Amino acid sequence: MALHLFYKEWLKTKWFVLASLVLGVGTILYAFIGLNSNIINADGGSNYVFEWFTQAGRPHYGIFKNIPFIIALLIGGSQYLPEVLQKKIKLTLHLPLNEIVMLYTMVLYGFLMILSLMVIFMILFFTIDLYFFPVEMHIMAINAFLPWILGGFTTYFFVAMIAMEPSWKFRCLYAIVVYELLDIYLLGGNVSNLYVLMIIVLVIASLGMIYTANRFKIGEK
Amino acid sequence: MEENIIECKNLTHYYGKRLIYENLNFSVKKGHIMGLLGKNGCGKTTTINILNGFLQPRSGECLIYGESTQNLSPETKRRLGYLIEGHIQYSFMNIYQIEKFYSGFYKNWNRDAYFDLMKRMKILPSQKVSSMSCGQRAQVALGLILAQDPDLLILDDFSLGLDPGYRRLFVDHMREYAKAGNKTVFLTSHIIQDMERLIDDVLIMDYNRVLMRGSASEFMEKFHQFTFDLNRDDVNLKAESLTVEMDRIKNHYELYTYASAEEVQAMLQAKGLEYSDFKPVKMTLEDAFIGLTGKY
Repeated sequence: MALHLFYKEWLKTKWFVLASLVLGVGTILYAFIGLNSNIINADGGSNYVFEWFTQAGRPHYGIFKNIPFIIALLIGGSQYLPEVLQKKIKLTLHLPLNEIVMLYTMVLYGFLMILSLMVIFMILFFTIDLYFFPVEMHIMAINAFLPWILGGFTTYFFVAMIAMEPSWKFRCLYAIVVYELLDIYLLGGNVSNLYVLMIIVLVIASLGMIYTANRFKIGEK
Repeated sequence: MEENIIECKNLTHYYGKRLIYENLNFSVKKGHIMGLLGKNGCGKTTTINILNGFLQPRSGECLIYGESTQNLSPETKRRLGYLIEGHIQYSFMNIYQIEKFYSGFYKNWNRDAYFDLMKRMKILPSQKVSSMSCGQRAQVALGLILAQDPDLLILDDFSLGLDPGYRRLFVDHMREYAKAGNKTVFLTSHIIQDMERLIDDVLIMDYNRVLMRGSASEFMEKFHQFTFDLNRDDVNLKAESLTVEMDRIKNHYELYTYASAEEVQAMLQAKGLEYSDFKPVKMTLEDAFIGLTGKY
């Protein structure tokens, strides 16, 4: 039954998954094309670029900052909007499966899609990056990517939570709170002391759907 | 004794402070087709939502196969076919995909029943639900129900948006299917003449109350309409105990009642009213519904 639910999710999201793939790969390639021209054109070559990254705080991968958030919105939107419009989610909730298992199978699909995309992007990025930079630079990049990717997953969970909320008033309220909350994933610099907080927010976001789905089920307005 | 498939006990619901109904009780027996009739806003969709577990009543409960509709088990849901108002289905799927999707959830899935109907309606497997007319969508929804082969069907306003031909097709298919398989059906519709061909039992609701519940044929036997002319056009018979509803155009009166012709005539004579052209009128279910609830 899970496979049949995955099939439904795939039908809704396939073009958005493809668009996300193109967006992510395109962004990474663009970052390296820009980097290459900087190295070629700059006096001092890669030394100049290294200083530019570390002191000016403008690494080539900075362009990737918003990509996990955009992809989370694309995948989440394409998954949950068709369910919410005309309350088609009633069709899904009527299927002979435990409702929480069913909803989290949908969430699992979205999570796995975003995870797969992020794995592809990271493999692509670090394969090319290896050509230009030493391992120390990669650790800097990992530290930068990690909060953004965690932020992407958190955004996705919040999209699912907001979509299931039956009241537009509460949807808007949640969206404002979530928008402010997501700032912690975009602070930049050394955020290692914030990882615990980021993971707590991520876990809360992943459980939020239980609350809003129950509100939908009992007919809250 | 026949088994109750649906049993609603003391249902009370409000939207905010607006009372929809209080202490509503009804049951649907195995193999029966019950139609819920009522004017707009009297609580038909509220009742359907409670039955499907998408609304928690303020108090009371509904049971389906003995389980609370708020917590139906997957086994009970598998026995339940549900048609959403407007024949809503997953519009991003085509005919082939929607069958493939649903087939994974039902053990006795009969794909031939679905594809036979699609073929008869000349709907192609590659046709998307989003590009279909309301009538075609209704046939898709019906085909999916036939393939699922549920024991209980809940149909919310099944005639919405359908032209007379599609409505008749839907009603005839549904009646044949339900009677042949001893299925239980609970349905609502705005078009009462469709109900007449389909239902065994009827529940007629007005704002905040139930006007009638029971066998549709018994109701049609016992409920009468009489027309007559009086020599005055200012008589109000609404307050009479045997009057359910009354309408008047000049000195021509229409009286709806559970009383017999003799009883009505005796009442007119007792009031000293001279009547002429006294006639019983053969009613359709729609006439009887209007007679019971009033025109507005």
